[in-house]
Amino acid sequence: VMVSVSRPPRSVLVCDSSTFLHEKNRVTTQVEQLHFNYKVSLLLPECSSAPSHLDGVLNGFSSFYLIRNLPIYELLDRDFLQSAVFQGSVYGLSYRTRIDEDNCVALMPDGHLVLSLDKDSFEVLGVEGKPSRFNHRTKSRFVVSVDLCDGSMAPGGRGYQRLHTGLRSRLQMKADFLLSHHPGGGASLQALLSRYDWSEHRPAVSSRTLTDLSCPTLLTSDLQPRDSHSVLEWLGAVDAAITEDGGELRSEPDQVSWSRPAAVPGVFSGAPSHLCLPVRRRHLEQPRLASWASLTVHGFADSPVCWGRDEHGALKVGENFYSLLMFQDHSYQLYLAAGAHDSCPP
Amino acid sequence: MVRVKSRYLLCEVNVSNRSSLLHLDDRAVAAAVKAAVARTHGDYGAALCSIRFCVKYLNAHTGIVLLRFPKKFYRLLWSALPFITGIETRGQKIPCFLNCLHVGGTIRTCQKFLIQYNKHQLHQMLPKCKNKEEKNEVRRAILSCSLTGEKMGLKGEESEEERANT
Amino acid sequence: MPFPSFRKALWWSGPVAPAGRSWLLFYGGIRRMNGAKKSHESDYQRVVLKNSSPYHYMKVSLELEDESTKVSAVELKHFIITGLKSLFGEVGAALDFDVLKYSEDTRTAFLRVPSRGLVNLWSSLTLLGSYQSQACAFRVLQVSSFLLPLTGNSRELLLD
Repeated sequence: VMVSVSRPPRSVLVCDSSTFLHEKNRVTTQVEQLHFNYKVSLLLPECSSAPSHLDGVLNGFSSFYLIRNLPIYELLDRDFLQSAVFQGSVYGLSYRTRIDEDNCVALMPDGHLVLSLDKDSFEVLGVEGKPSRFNHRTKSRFVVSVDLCDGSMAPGGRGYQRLHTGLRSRLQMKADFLLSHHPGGGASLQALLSRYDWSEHRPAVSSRTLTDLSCPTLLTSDLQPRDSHSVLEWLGAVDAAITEDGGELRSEPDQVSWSRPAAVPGVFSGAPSHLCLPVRRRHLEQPRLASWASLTVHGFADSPVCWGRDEHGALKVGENFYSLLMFQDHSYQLYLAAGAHDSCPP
Repeated sequence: MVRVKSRYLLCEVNVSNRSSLLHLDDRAVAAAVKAAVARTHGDYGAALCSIRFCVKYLNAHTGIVLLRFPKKFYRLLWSALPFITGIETRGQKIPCFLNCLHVGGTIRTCQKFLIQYNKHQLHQMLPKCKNKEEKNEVRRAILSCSLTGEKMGLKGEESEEERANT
Repeated sequence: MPFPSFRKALWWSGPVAPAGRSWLLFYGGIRRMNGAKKSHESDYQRVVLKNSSPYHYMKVSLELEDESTKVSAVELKHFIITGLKSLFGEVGAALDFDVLKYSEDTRTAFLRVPSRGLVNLWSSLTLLGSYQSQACAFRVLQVSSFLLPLTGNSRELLLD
């Protein structure tokens, strides 16, 4: 009899398998549902030299800004709304706020402003919201989601005024804020940045070569869903550089395989789906022993939203990430994971 | 009506020397069970053992013990019983093991089972008697023993239990 | 041997040839490698797995009063087993968790535990209060049903 005190937290894993050649493949739309990405990592097996052809793409992540002590009502500034939010593709997220204890803010590229507030702040703010899904019984946390592009929220309108005064004079909420824009749109943020203390950050690319890693060369699109946990475990073990004890698993000298995991931490914003195509084009089309590559993207654990506009919580397990396995024959396996209470990924 | 649910484990204490059974008392049995649970399930088990666990009935002549466990954890606590190898009482250790005969939801079902079980044992034992004298001795022993008193005691406890439950 | 059963789970990460054999065995010859090309029209498969993770992974760090104390991976595992034994007894100490990765400098470890034993391990870590007669505490930094998120924790993002 195993003493089981209580059950472990819930987890959801969606395994999608299809091919890029399928006209209705949803991989891009699915992947773009995860808005706030923290880290992108790429594993290219059997790749002996530095992936120069991928350098451009890996360095192509746009930079982002950290604004210190930004009063949240500044996001409702007329000029900022006009020049940035209404144009779309602005990503904003409060920095170093914890979803389980602090007030968190997210500005989504489709113009939604999502606030995850504790009960007191919610009551002080005085804007319509709904209780968080994660503690709907105690009603200790509330989520306010406002569509800034909606007509009722037009600057000067009643809804706008209510939210603006709520944030400005009642709640007086301030937070360190991460802000990013699609490539080329940085200028629209300058007006806001000029008023506060800010710094620009670029994602740091790091890559290493693993000489002794024997990749499962026979990993093909024949993978069954029941194997997905072992696949993800293997990828995780490579990513975390977990070494096995003993040297029995070293490859024979003539079978030395090289793999290149590349990691880009601190990416923030936007789906790195633009990585898929170059990887497929330039890496997978060369004949190799291992005919696959994997792309893993980790979301922010403390973002108030996870997939789409679904609420995200990090009570026990705050994971939101996906892993895309791409094969030489243009088929793919997409693993989407959600945390303890999150709704099912798209 | 809601009541606190328990599971009653009817066990027999198996010893090599039957006379040592007479030294047993319910406190010693309870201590042995608690020690075994604490060893196999640690502090967590020991804590569970302090919730409504008690030795409800002990027959020192036949070595029958009735243990009460909370229903929620009885499987966990039950799993520790095979690890009992001896019961310490009055400074001496009686080597023994517990054999679980029946698991019941009420004392009444356990009592019914025990009567059935003893009858069955008697039916098995009587043919083994070598001559009439032995048989008569067994009969006399059955009639003269204070089983009625024991039974009364058990009945009394049960009705008390039922009163408490309703 | 600090990581006894990890190799078992990664059975297909061996050298190329044996891994290949076991892979084919696994499929029992149902589909040959490089075999018939799949048609691109029909295959779209979506499977949702709920609570199917066989393991949970924890990232924990051991905090000690005396920061200079050295704790090796073996000592750490033994310490955790002691905690399990005191809280859940001999049955609890039989929990087959693994220390996947351990850094002696930060005393941070990646633990892998069968899902049904997660709560047991977690609670015994919480109740471990002293290491070699000095006060200590385990900080559970992250818990996940996958290993991947442990390397991508956004709470570690430092922009200063």
